[in-house]
Amino acid sequence: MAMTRITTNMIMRNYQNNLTSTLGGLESARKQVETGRRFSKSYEDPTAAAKAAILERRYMQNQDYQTSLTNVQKWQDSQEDIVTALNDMAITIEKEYSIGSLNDPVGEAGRKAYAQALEELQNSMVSTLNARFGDTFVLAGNDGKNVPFTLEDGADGYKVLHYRGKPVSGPDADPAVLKELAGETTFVDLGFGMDIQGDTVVASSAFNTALPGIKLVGYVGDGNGTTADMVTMVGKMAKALKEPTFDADEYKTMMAEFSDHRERLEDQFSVLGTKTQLLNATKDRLESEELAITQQFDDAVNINPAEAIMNYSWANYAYNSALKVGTSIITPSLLDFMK
Amino acid sequence: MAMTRSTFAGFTTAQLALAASQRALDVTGQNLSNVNTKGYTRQRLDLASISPTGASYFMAQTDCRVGQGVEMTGVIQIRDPFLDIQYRNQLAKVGTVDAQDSILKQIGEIFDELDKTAVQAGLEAVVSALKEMSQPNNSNQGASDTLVRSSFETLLNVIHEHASTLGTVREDVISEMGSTDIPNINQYLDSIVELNKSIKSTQILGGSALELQDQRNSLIDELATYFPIDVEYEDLNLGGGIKVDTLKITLKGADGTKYVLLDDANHGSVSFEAGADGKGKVSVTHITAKNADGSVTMQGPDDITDNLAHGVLKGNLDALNKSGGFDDPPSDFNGIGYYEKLFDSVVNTMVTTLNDLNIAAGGEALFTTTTGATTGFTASNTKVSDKWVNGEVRIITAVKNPDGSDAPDDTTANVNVLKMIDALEAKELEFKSDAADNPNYIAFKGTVFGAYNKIGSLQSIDRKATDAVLTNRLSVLNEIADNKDAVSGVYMDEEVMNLMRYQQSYNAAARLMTTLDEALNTLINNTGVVGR
Repeated sequence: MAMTRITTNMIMRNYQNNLTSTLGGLESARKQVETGRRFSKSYEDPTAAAKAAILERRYMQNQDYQTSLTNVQKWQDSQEDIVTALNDMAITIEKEYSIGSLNDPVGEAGRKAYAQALEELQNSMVSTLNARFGDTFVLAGNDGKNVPFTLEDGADGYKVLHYRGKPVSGPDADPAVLKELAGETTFVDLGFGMDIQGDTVVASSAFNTALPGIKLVGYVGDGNGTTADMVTMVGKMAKALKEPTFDADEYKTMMAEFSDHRERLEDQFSVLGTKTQLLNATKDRLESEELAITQQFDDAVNINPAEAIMNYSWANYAYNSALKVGTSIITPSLLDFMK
Repeated sequence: MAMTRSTFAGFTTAQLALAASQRALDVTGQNLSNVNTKGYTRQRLDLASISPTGASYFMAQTDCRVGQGVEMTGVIQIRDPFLDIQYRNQLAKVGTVDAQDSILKQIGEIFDELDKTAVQAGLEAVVSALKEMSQPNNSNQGASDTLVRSSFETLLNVIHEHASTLGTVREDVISEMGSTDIPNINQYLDSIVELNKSIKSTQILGGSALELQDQRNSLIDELATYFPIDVEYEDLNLGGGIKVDTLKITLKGADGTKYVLLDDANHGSVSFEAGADGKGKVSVTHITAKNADGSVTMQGPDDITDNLAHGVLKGNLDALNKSGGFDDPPSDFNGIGYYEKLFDSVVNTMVTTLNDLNIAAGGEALFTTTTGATTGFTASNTKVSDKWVNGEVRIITAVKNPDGSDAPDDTTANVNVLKMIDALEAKELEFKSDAADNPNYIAFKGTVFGAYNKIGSLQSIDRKATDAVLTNRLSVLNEIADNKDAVSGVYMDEEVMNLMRYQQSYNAAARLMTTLDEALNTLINNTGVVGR
């Protein structure tokens, strides 16, 4: 059997190669300890790197949803504020300006005073309905840059409420147009899996932030037998009070319709309340999702510090041993033993 | 009666022995002093015993004939030519992968976003800005439009930089080929021819030119990293019993064609050209026939770009010329062209989709090329439209009515913004390249984010594979080098033993001479002097 000759060059070259690779192992262990990550370049672990990229994207999406959600909550809060204010005004009208007005002893002058107060309240209601969040009108549906509600003089001697230029009550009101305006939506993506078919957003896949004001005050053709919305009704009631002969029955009918409107306004509270609950639940879900994603990212990319330090100690030991071996690898040859 | 012996015959034997031992010590000394020389092959003194001279009429059966000493037949090199062939083949294979690995590393530095915020972060900022814009209180506000536009400007800046760096990678490879690799190859061919001449003249005069041969072998090894070569030695009989080696180097094409690059005192050349499209072409001028008067006929330049099986040249050319599936027919390597085209496709698809959405809603293009066109977007020529910058054009937030008419009173509708978000985040798009040989090849089907991530992950997978192959081939190369060393390397212990051996044989030869001298002294000075 032939014995392979082991030459000096062979030993030196192999020692050098092995020392370099041991040093490489030491270097990567050191990087692991310093950065806390298992790898610092994608090619060291392509699968984990791809996973990390996806997780990072999901994390940013989650942060976007949380930002959107906070904003939508504030928007929702201003809607609730408007409904509350409107409701308070309606309660005032119901309680103080109906029973009291029916008392005849007040007389014409007294009724005129009441009429004036009612007209003031009517203006306040319109102002409330025209509230803004930042630069945008809250109850304007998709036309948030323009003032939604105005009071225009009507043909019958009382002012008619107009929504986006269209009359809400009275003979000129167009139920079809009003119905379309009341159905406007403004969707925001909050992570429900937003799905857009053509130009329409699927309703269950996003959050609708729009609340067109005419849904609050009622409109002709809203399916509740409305003859006049809340605001116009107040105007009508004021006109009736200003008549020389007070028609109490007519006033009572108008007041009844006004009360119906106010009851329906209270229903809006529960609608808004449900939406707020949904937002709160979504917030909780997003927060726990954030934690989950962070954990997954940690598992994919980071290394347990104890493991990293142990790797480093071992690599260090291996390197030092290799160095020690080096001093004896330049073996004494026969040369050292000759006289 | 026994044959007479010449009186002084023994001295020649001793003298020859002394000379041989001295010469052997010289050779050992040469080996020892060159133990660290790169490419040195150990030498050995060949000794032969001198037989007694031929037959003659005056010989008898009772004669005792003895050999006449030791003859030095020459100093030779111990080298295994088969290992050389193996080594050079493996060098070419290592060369291919080494070249590819270094180019992939440079591409990785551009697209690897594990540790840095670049395009992915820019895209995320754009989507966040669009989501801000879709909020009911922000829709159609000038401020949010500006925010979206500046996030796009930031993103496009990063994209331009990436495109420019990718272009630099290509330029660097071309420059390396043209100013380093090809001139090196021609330089080696030149030097080898010079060495050929020196070796031949030395051999004609009787020397063996071993050191020059070692030099020549080193140069041939360097040459072997660039492309697969075949080395042939031919014995040339110059008459009068003088034989010299001539060397022939042939470039082996992948299809089996052989291009003779070097034949004794003549050599061809290799040249490189870079086309306007950034592709590279390597051509070779080679020897086709040797004429009787010693001159040669050459042919070329012949294009060998697609005919190289291994080597650094192939590694570089693959990176420059091949674009994977974008080629027609598809090629087997994702070179720089693949990454360029995929990156351009990501930008083109993203920008075209957004432009289309804005135009369909009644607006104008949000992005243009640097020349103002709205087609043929690449990573380097895309920019935010000037009209968008100066406010003439903005993102149209509302879509048109189903009957196609504008919806002028939808001042805060946001469906078009939602569609843009959807197009970037969730919509499945097809990514193709019009500039490719195969414009119908779908490199990726998925979201914009997915497409950009694919570039990064493809690069990392390619690099990991190339790395593994490189390590593998290097270890095989190392093994062959070990084998070569085992045959040709200097082994200190062995040489030192030779030192001892030849020193002893020198002492013995000297002792023989002393013995003969004393014997003759007895004969000459002390015989027949009785009574003096």
